[in-house]
Amino acid sequence: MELLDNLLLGFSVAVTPANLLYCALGVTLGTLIGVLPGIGAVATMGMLLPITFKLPATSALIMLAGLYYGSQYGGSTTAILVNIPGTASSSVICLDGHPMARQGRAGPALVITTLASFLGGCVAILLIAMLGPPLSEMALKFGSPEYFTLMTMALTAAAALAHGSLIKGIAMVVLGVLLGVVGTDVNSGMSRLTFGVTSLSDGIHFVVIVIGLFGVGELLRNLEPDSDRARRKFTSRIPWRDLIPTGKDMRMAWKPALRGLSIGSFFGILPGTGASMASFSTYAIEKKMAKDPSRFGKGAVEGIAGPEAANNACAQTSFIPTLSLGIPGSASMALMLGAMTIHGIQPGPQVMVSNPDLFWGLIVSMWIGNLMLLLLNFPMVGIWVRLLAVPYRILFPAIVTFCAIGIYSLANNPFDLVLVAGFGLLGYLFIKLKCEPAPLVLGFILGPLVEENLRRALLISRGDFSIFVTRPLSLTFIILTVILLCAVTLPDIVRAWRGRESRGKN
Amino acid sequence: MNAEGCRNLVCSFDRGFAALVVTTLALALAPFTPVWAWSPERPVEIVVSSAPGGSNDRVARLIQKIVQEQKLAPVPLSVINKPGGNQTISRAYINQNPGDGHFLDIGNPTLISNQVFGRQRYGDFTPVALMINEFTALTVRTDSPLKNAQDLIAQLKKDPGSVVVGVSNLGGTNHLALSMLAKAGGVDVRRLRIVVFKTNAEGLTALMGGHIHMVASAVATAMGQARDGKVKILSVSAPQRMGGDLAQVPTLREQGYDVSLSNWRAIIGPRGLSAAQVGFWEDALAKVVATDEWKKSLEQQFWDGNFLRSKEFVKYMDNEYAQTKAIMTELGLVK
Repeated sequence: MELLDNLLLGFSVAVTPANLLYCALGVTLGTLIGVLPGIGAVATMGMLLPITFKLPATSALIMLAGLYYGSQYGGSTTAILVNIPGTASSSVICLDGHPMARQGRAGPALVITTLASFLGGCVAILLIAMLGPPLSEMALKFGSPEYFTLMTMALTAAAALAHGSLIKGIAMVVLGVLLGVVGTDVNSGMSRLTFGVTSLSDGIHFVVIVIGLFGVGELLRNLEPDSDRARRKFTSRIPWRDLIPTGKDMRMAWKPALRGLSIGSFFGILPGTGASMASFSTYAIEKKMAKDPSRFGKGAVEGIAGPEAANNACAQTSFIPTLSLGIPGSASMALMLGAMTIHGIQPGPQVMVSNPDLFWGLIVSMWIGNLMLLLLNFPMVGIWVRLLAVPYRILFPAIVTFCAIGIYSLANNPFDLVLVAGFGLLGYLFIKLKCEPAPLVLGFILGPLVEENLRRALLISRGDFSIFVTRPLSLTFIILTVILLCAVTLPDIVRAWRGRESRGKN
Repeated sequence: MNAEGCRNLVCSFDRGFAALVVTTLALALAPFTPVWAWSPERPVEIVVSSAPGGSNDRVARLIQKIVQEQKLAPVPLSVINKPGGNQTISRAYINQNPGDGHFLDIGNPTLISNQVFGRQRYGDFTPVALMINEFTALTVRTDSPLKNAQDLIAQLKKDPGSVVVGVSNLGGTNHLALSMLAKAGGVDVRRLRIVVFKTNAEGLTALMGGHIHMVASAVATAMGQARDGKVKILSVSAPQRMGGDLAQVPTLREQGYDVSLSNWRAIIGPRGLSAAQVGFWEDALAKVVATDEWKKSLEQQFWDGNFLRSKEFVKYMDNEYAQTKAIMTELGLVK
């Protein structure tokens, strides 16, 4: 069998002592930068690139790849413990992971996210190995109309994200979209909502918004005088036994994890969508499918298992267009391709044929790397949970310092720190007003993509809206959106109608 | 001890030994300081005005790699990405240290277009050396009815909106090269149908999927797919026929349109660098471009070596400015 031969070749490359070492180095560093809020894979890969100059190409790529998918593992740790996402895509883990920690269940939450990450990663690698090239063809079927209708569908699904007031939810989405359009408009090259500030002309970085709203906002809340009492429960010493998820947790987690990994794998293949979209969509779907959606936002296991599997699967499958088409779907993948060219390998579809040892060695190393990550992260759970017992007066400045370093590393621009402070205040205000920041974040990611692709599609069709319904894929998404809308609104309409009827009888 | 006493103490053998030591020292330092009164004393920052992974970044890291491996500078070099603000942020950053040769930046045609847009003046920086040219490729699907630049112009003359072209930056080099071709062919450039993608890679994906008709991008971006036969390159904006895999692809000039445009990359410094500082870097970079590794990397990335020292580089930019301003006005991007 050809696949088996290829995998054998991969093993012979990946299991050399040197490559194992670089893989371990990559995933360990990845876990670290994942845990540290704000410090992303792109900045770290950029810093490490010069060190890889001297390495053989395969070792260099194995290490950089390990760094990238390793960072997805660690990202949920701080999201659960202190409500600050370590990576952008793990911001959705805050919604249910942190409430779990507040209930004294940080241990099970960390174990579940680690297991979900492992599952998501491993299955996605299998997809790359078996179906890489055909899946990359799928990315080609997606033109601007398809992107537009797909994003609209995701935005509709976002309605499920809001709990509490619908009006507040809509207001937050709109605010998110407005923040998303800040910067230079791609289609016209004109500046929008920058108020003449040069640092805003490339828009606001996603991480700035997420760390500000979720992280700094939460930090400010914890500084309130009576917050010590609220924190006592989850900072008290937790017996080792309670670190492990219960059988019930596991039964509730595995199905969402499977759904998450399929959604994540799908988004990973499409260039320009990314892990954040995958994890947010998964969360929305899980909440819609749950028997009792009201548990979400209060520590639902499904709310962390699904999205965590999704962002790891996405991180892995984003290698598909990168390796089999030579098309990078994200900044980190562009950096991988950059590393390849520096090492003298011309990226493109021919890499699989011209450098099979590199291609298959990398894929097998991802498997090994995921296994290492599992072994690395399990023993850490106990340590992380103990971290919560550190007095807040010491923890607080440490977290703020790491956030500041991370934010600065985004673009080496001090202005971003000012922005984070501003968004932190806004986040605190939202907590006081009981406004959920999650819909804002989704509006921020999806809004500009929806706009960009709508305008691009209409430019291509010369302003003819029929382009959205005459293409089968696009039409399918529209139909699904309508069904979704009905599913979301019908129960309420029926209830309202019945209520009126029964009132009429009285 | 005065000089007289010293001379008396030193015997002829010692004097010979001292001379030997001095010569050895001079030879050891030869790559750094023989001619120029200045050489870097602290770590040097090469600032990149865009994100890691892009062409600017790759040029910077290649230079960093060669300078360090060949020990062309006595201090380490680091590459720092400061994206944002239409590239003005990184340049404003180096100009915080006027006259300091420890700050370098990768210059490119955005320097010029930023002045056309009135954002930042290229004269505010010290040009050090032009390093490479990156040319534009006009790429279509293999099954496209367009076979060459003449076909394209004929089609555009019939209906300028009938060819949907993807670019990654409105007013960027690739867009300008296409516009200059259209203008040379007598087509109304304002009626071209341009679709802007965030990255060339996204545009190329749309082209392969048949969602648009053409992509104007850097040669290297298109080449990976072209070599695989998925797309084909109609023409390149190079002044002369390129080599290697592109030996079969005619230039725009060969097809009868006097258009050549390059997305060049250069090293610039903050304003007010001294002649000694510029001279030091000019010489170091001249050694970089002479290495085999540089030549090999250029070939791999389809970059064209075009090393110009500071003086010629200034003339090059002035010429570029006039050309860019003319076509941008034509396009209605500036008044």
